[in-house]
Amino acid sequence: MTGRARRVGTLAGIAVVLAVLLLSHRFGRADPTGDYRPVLVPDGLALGCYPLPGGVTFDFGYQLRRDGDVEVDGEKRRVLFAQYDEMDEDEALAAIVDDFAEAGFVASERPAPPYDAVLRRPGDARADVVRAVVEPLPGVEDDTIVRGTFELDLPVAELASDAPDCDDPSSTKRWDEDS
Amino acid sequence: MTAATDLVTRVAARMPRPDVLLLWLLGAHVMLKLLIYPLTMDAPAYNDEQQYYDGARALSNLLRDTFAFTSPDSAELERNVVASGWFMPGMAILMTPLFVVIPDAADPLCRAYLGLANLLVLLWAVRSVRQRLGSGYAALFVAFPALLPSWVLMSFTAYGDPLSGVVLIVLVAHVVDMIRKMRASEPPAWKEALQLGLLAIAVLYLRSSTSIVLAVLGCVTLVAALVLLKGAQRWRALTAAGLAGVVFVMLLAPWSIAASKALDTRVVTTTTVPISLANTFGDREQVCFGKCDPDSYLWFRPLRYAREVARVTGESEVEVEKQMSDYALRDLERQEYARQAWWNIGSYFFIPANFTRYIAPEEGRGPVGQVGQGIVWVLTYLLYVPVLVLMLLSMLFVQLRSLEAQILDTLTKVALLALFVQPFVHIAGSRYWTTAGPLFVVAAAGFLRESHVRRSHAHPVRERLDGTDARLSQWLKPIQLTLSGVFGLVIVVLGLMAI
Repeated sequence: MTGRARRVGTLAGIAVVLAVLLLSHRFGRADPTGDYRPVLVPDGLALGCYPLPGGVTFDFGYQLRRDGDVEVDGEKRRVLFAQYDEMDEDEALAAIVDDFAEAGFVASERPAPPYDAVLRRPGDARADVVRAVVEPLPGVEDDTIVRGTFELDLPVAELASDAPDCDDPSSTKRWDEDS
Repeated sequence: MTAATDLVTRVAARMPRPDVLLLWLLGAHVMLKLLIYPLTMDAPAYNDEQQYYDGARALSNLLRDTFAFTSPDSAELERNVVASGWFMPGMAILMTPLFVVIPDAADPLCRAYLGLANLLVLLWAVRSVRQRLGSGYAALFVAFPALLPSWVLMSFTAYGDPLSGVVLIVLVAHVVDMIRKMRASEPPAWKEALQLGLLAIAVLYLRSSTSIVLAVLGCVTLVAALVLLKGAQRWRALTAAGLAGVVFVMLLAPWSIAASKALDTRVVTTTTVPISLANTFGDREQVCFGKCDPDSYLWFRPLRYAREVARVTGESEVEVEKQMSDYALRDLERQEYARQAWWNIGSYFFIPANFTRYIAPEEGRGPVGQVGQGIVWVLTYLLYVPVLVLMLLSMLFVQLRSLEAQILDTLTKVALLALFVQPFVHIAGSRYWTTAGPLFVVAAAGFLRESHVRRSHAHPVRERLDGTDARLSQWLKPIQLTLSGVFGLVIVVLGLMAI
């Protein structure tokens, strides 16, 4: 190809590309699925799907890990397993007790081991007791964000919200099978 | 071994001139593409391909909006191009023109476009390699991996691995050419430095795990410039290197900045290293400071957890992932690490045809498709295994028949060693070898040629070298031996660790 033919060809090519780009909004719009960046569902507790007794909400950083009902000595109980962030063990226990206290729960003076706290509301039935176990995670350091776990033994809760995400186990952490 | 070299010599003696051979091989490649296209035609995007497709769609909308003078949808761009910062958008950029013109392109069209784009890049690469390394090497490069059926199948996919290998071999050819000029005391021209920078950033965008091999090749070129050139030319070479570096960084910056902004932390290339280390070598039951959610896939489980922690504490999810990784790896024992590394090595090298199963229509293949898949599988192994074996042998021996051979041997060994770091840090997929594929055949062919030369001459006649060339040749030999030594040593040490 001669030099001139090449230049003309290149210019023509650029013109075509430019024309396509300028007209591209008429061809419609591409619709990406976003599958590789799923929407993060809200926290099930924050949504109020299966609320804590007394409408308690936690005032500290936590992640819900597992929630579900089990049978203990013939009695059905709800076990909620979560992790606490950026606090040490004592602070976490105090925070949990404080949040329950705001809803009228009273902590027992000497909680029976292995529980770190046993909470009751005056006038509640025996089955409405709340028990907590707080454990630091082994091998974490002072600047680790996630510091430990807490497990709450609660009365069984019913679905209390019709938010669509309450059906999503990744929000409520109520997984069907053993995990 | 003797039989193999003799056979190759006899076959080579009967072959037409390299240029003619090259055209035949390219023709065969195109034929293979046409035959294999139907196997991939109806295959929807598989796993990571989904993100490349979506990234391309979002980028096409960006172009659409820019040229319609409206503001782009930055939320869509963040979600689909950056996403979780797992992949650099090289292949998304490559696919963007398709979605600009046909926003709702269906699977067959996407596959055809990918196949065509891949072919064009291959042709450009062949021309580049032929110009700098000769038609012989160009022909070899088409024979493997471009005639490997599973590679041809992968040329219809949106994974960046095969193309990153193609561009990488062009980069290596450019470096060889640059060193050739430096040996003649000619510093690299500005245009060449620019090309080197562009090639390197293209390789990185196509496959971010190449950052190690690019850094290594960059260092090698720099050291070569310092050693081979003197005085004013050395300064010119260093400034040319600076130019290449500036171009590289300037083109990397848009991605790094966008990803860093979207993920609220410093991202240079990708964010996968901590979680991939944790998932590969760590205790999977500890990755989420305990067990992760049981429902989603291996890579999405820790991601969701990291995002939940990030949401609650205000930290960046990438920082959370780093801590998760440290936690899951804290009890790692040497033996476990070594065994998992061997498993990765196996996945990296020994299942080249795996993707034939995955790139299939949703409802599975019909009887013809199954037969086609089987044929692809068998032919792939037939061609792949000898090249792999020869490449591994070539890593253990050195090539001394000429200075050019020494230079190419050194570069190939250095690049392959850098690429072979992958199984040590990441679960290896069966497509990762394609980044190293073209280098396999260069190593293998060099080894065969060296064996032939040594066998046919009692005292190998080498070219006469003067001055810089002679010194270079002298210095390269211990380097080559060291590289072979490192390769052998790592294998032995890893083997012992695993027992």
